Amino acid sequence: MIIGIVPMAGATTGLLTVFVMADHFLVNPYLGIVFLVSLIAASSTGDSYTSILTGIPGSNTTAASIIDGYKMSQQGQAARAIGIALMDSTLNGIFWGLVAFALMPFYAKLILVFGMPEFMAFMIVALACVGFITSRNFWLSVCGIGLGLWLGLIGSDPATNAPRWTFGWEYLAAGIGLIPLISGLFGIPEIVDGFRQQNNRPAPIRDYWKQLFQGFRDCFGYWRDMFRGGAIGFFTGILPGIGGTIGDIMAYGATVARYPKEKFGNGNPRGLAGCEGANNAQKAGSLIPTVLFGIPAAPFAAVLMAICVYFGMELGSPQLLQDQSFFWALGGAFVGATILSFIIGIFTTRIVVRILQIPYWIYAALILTVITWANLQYSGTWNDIYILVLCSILGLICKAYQISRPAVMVAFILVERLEKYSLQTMTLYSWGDLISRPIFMTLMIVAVGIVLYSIFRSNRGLDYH
Amino acid sequence: MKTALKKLLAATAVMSMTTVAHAQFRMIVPQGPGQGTSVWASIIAKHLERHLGESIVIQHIPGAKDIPGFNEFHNRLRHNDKTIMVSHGGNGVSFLVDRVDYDYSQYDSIGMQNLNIVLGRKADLDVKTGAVRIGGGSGLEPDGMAVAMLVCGNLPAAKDYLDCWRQRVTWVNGIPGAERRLAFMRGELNTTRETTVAWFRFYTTMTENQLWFHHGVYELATGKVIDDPNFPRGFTFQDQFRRLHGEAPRGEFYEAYLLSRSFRDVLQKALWVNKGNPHTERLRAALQKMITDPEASAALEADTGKYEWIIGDQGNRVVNTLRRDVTEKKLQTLVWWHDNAYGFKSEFKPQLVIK
Repeated sequence: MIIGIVPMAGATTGLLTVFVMADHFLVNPYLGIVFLVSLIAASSTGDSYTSILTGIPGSNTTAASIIDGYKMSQQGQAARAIGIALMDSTLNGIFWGLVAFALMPFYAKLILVFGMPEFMAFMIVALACVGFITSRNFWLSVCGIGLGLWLGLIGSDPATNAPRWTFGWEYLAAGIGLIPLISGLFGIPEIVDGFRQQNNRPAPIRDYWKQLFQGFRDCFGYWRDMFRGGAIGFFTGILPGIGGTIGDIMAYGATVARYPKEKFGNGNPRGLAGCEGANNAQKAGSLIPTVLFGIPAAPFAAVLMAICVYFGMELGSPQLLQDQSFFWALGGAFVGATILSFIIGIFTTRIVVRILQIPYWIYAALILTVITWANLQYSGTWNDIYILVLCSILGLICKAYQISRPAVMVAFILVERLEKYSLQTMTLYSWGDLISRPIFMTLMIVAVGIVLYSIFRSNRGLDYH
Repeated sequence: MKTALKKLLAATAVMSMTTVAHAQFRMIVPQGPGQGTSVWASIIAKHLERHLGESIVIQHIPGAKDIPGFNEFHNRLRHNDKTIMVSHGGNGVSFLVDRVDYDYSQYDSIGMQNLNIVLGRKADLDVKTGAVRIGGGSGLEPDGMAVAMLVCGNLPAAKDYLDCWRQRVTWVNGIPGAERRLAFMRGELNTTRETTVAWFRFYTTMTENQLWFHHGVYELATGKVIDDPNFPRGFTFQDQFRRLHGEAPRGEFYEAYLLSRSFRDVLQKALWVNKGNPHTERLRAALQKMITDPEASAALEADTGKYEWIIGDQGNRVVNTLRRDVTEKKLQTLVWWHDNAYGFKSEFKPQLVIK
């Protein structure tokens, strides 16, 4: 949970950190599985704290939570927002964890139904959902999405491996990292804004328990939104290469689309409830292709696979699929850790939310240190700092001109995958092949519908920038 | 505001200083966490530090084709005596055909693992007449060349291979390893490329998949490719070629393939330090001890398979042998093929040619 709370450090960082402890579990590798899966489940819950309290995504899978969650926190409702996050994460984690592990062998066929064209169409649907998190001004929205797409294309052309828009800077040949972009878009502008509004800090939380339980009650009131979000997160988790960020943002988009008369991005608890559980469900879903085929559906799953090899457990191998103890360890740990995180969360949140009350310069120094540390993990060179500075300038401009930063980030993440799947699809399939694929065509029609709806809906545009 | 900013800067500086880890050795990995060489490096670091008596931290410097990390080592980091570079086969191929700063002759080898790569195919693929669909990407270039020769037979020149390649082979760029495996399982690709361990782990129980060929193992004493004892006999590329076409592979294209294959597979997992590094012998001795440690060798065998280690000066000699094999013709063929068959932007580097 602590790892989840550290800004931008998620399950992947956590698993890498505990790799050195792998030896201790060689005697009983099942215990090792319990430990690792618990870390994954707990860090998914911990991620939410950072997004809600600091306005900086706890990881890339909780970016949508900042849109309404951080606003609630600024309005003095931090404990209520955490209450929603805790209950939502827990219920979705338990439910989708059970669904994933109880029905594990049945997913094999489902995953194999989705080919490259369907993955490409899925990316297009996700990109269409960006329309739900844009600004009110149409041109600023186009500008934000365009900016995200362009930033995502910086790096290397996947077809030729040649550098693209790197301006001769070799460091950029790998593309802009997600951590500097998140830090620059969200972290630094929020710190600067905090200094500007020192006299306007969030009101102290007067009635912690009342707020927390109000958050729990909100979840039951919005149970449809909560489980819709979980279902979307779970499904995107199953598909390797789709990724958690998409599930999060699609879940948020689905909530916004469902209530055209409501405003979002202004601290609407429904918005938070609609997307918060998606990342927990996504983690459960991501374990399915990893365990069944040995195909990591997300970076954390790749590290998990590596550690399992160290334990002598080969994820994806037919032998392991017959091992009941392994499945009990996996499912039990995921569900158990989710429940335990909830209990711990109830009693520790009161301490964590005090971060909002500490003197601002200490708070800002802490966040700035963590941001610098997280960015230096990439190459450990000055280049990491230069790119952080550039992304921060970009973030400040976006905030000043009310260009939706979540839209920039999501477009950035999606474009690389969209380009990759488009390239693969166009190499292997003709237009005739594509038209005859029903799932592909359905997804494309859905994408067109989403674009049209998001342009003409009455509650267009977020208050969050 | 000014006072607050001053306090902020002071506090940040203090906190940043306390977060800097004072590790003894640093291992540079040119990939992000979770990727093949990165996992291998984690296993090595974990066991090597026990025999070295000092801690080792891993620093990931990922980048396009895994080149920037190695360049960073060459240009800056190697001058720190406690820096070890971890390179892989893709770096070996890039050394031949891409614009890179690094140069193996300027480092001392600590150790390397002489490995092999295997290609599988769908059982119903008719190699002589069928259309081959293969996933491409960095480090997979020798595999594409081998496939071109198997489906086309011996042809007079590289341009003849290109004509045949365009008719018979679809090279799909931009598919990372795990997704390539899934595309193969779905049948979108009808060939796949794996490490030895992954092959035995994922495919051997599936009847619709067949072992097609492997590249064989480079014999240090002779510089020739020999059969790999990890596989049943007779599955080297050369064996399969003879079986299909009734003759041995030959010609300039084959020579270029061998060059590329050797740089990739012999240098597939390697550790380097700067020439003249005072810790070289200590590191070599620790690595020698590590590979005889049953726990470490079991962990490595689970990751890479049962393959020999080349420790110390012998690694430098291997690099010299590989370098001597670089001729102008082979290099030109390789660069031309990379550009025209794979659509990459490669570079002919005359300075690599041994006169």
